Amino acid sequence: MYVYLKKLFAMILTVLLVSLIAFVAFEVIPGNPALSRLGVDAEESQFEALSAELGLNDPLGERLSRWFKGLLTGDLGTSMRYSVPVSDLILDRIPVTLSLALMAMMFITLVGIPLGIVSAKYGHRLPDILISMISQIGMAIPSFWSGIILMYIFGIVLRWVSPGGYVPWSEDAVGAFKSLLLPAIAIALPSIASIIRYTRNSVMDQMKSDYVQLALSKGLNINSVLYKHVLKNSLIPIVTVLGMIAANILGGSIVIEQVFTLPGLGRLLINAISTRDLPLVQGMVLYIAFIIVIINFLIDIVYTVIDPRIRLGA
Amino acid sequence: MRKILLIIMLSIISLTSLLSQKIVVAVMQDPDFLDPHRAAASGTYEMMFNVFEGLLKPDSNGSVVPAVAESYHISEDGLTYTFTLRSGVKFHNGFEVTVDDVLYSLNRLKGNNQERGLSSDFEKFVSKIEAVDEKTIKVELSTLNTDFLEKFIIAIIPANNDNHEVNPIGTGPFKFVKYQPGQRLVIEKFDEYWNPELPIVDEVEFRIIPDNQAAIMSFMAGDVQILPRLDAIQAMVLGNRFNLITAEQNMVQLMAMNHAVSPFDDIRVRRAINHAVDKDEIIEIVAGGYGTKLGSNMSPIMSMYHQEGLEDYYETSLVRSRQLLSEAGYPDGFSTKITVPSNYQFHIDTAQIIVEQLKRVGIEAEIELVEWSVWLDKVYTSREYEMTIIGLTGKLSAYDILRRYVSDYPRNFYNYFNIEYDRVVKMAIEKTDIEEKASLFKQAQIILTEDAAAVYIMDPNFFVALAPNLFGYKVYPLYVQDMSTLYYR
Repeated sequence: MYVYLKKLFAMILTVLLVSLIAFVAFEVIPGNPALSRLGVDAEESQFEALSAELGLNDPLGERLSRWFKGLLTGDLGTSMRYSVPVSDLILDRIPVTLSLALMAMMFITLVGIPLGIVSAKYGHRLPDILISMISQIGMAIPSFWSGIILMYIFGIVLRWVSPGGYVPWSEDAVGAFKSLLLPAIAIALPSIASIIRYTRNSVMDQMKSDYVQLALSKGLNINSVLYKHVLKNSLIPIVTVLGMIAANILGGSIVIEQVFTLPGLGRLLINAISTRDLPLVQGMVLYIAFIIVIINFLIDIVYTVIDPRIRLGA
Repeated sequence: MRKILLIIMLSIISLTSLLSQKIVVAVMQDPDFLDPHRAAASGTYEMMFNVFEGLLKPDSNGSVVPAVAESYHISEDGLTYTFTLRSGVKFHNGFEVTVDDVLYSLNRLKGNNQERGLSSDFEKFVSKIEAVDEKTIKVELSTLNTDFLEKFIIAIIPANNDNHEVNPIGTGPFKFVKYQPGQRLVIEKFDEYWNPELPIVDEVEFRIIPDNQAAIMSFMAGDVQILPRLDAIQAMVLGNRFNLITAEQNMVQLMAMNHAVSPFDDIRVRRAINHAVDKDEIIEIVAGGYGTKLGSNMSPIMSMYHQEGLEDYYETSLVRSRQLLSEAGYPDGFSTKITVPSNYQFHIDTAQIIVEQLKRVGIEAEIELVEWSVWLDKVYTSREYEMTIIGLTGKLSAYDILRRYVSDYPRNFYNYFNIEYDRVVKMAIEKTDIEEKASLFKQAQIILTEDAAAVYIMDPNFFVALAPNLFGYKVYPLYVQDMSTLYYR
């Protein structure tokens, strides 16, 4: 328990530090939220009124303390660009990013791990070489490019799915699934490739260990050795990588959301940064930090399930 | 049985096509404010033009026509505007527009002793707003500004609406339904619009798609029915399978030179650069030939005020350019920087051509790409730049276009100061005679050209791509999308 308190404390400290850095960074870089919002056609009076309303003329310390005070009462503040509460904006986007992440993670585990095992089983033989080649290519192709290609083939040529425009689950579940399928695949592809490689290497490492050699030499079937003993032992590094991938996707897939015009968190973050919407950026930073804490916690639990020797909090 | 089924199917199909009178328009950016008196961005006006109307509204010829007002009268001395309200004009909340609403709207713009007005122009020029009777409003100006009529296109909004930002209510052909930040703004047909023939479609969704490529993909797949403001290159990508409309857009694309920075404080250098830049080449390469060459800060689409013949004032001549540079003390040229907003590919392409053209006279220009926010801050507001390329969207009023160069204009980012220019522009808006006014505005353009205030490049044509079964699109010399006249066939 004590360990968890320590972890929690460290996390809070990290988040505060990151928020502070974001504040200072926005102070240093050029750009002004009122200007970005109003554009070139604003009259001076409109600009002044908005600056005053957003509190841009207040000293840095005052703005900083105002934000932290709000945070203590659970108020993330109001977006400077959209004039709506930051928490509403973020909550509104979570379903999109979450479903995208769940679908992508499903593809990654269901395709990546089995292929990795197959690859390891046939180490350095034809199936392994083929899978390695494909995963090499998968890692080399940037996801925005595979996104555009997928969109072109399935959205425009074949017209199976709609290439842009998100349909909320509440409106039309089939439509929602169709609108998220391609982006989820595009996000999953490079990660599938890296999971294949991690699984392959991890399994092959285990295969070299004494207990496997013993099991094989006493005549056990390779498949039962693989699935009963090796797999469990090689899962630890794979779970770690999966956790990292999940955290990444949940933070918002900036490029893919842009390409497929999905109203997810990645697009929100990009908008917030490019319009110098500091409260929104701060809110997003908090959200991402929160996601990372949760995922780390989940990974810890999974570790104990895979290997009972590992104890929570140890 | 089969016949009945067929009839049912056909009626369902025709019913859904009747129900689905919906248009999706791709737009690049979010609105800045839904409250029409606070909104400044042209991207907002582009959409909300369909929701709000002023006493007057712009028409597709670039003039103003009565809207909430039925008629107007300007006094001999040009100081008093009298508007007679149209009867039976209703707000989207069902209430009829009264003089009180008009008074409320105009006073909100003008401000009073306690509170500042929301429009600097109303604050500066208007002295008195009063209701003469239940149908008539009189507005008096304190200072003569004969270009003030166009200001009355600003929205008339109901006095009994307590939040214009959350619940915008106007009198336009469409009423506001919802706005989801970063996603969409939806408007629907207003059944009690004062012109019973309009609008035709039931619903319009402005879908916010910042990525141009994604917008084109959505259009090709049929998810989006209108792609406004494509440039020539993007239009070429679409090919001729779609309905493409092209028009001049009343934009002035220019390369500004910071007059407060050496060597651009020297008129000979600015002229030399004007002689070195070959606009025809830029129009050919960057706009695929679809652009109108400019010579001053006015698009020919503003036919009444446009001074002709300035576009070739500085003929492309490397000899003349080098000679001017030598006279100014730069026989071997100099190095400089062109700051370009990175979100405008069109301006980046233009900058690349200009860099090559300037090399021919020894000027080494380097392109600096900056984020739009940075451009607005550093270049447009703080004026910390050497050269920059930008397109300024057109206005109905020539004064609004030309006053960007007046010495005390807060956003005179050229750092252009010329007392004679200030005087001519001021004189122009004091002329009640339209001919005299036009000739002064033309003179102002000549001054800008002679001073080589900037390099005026072109008014790039824009392309609107429409779904093949969509008709009735009206082109405006303004940054608007008029949805009221569109129909499916």
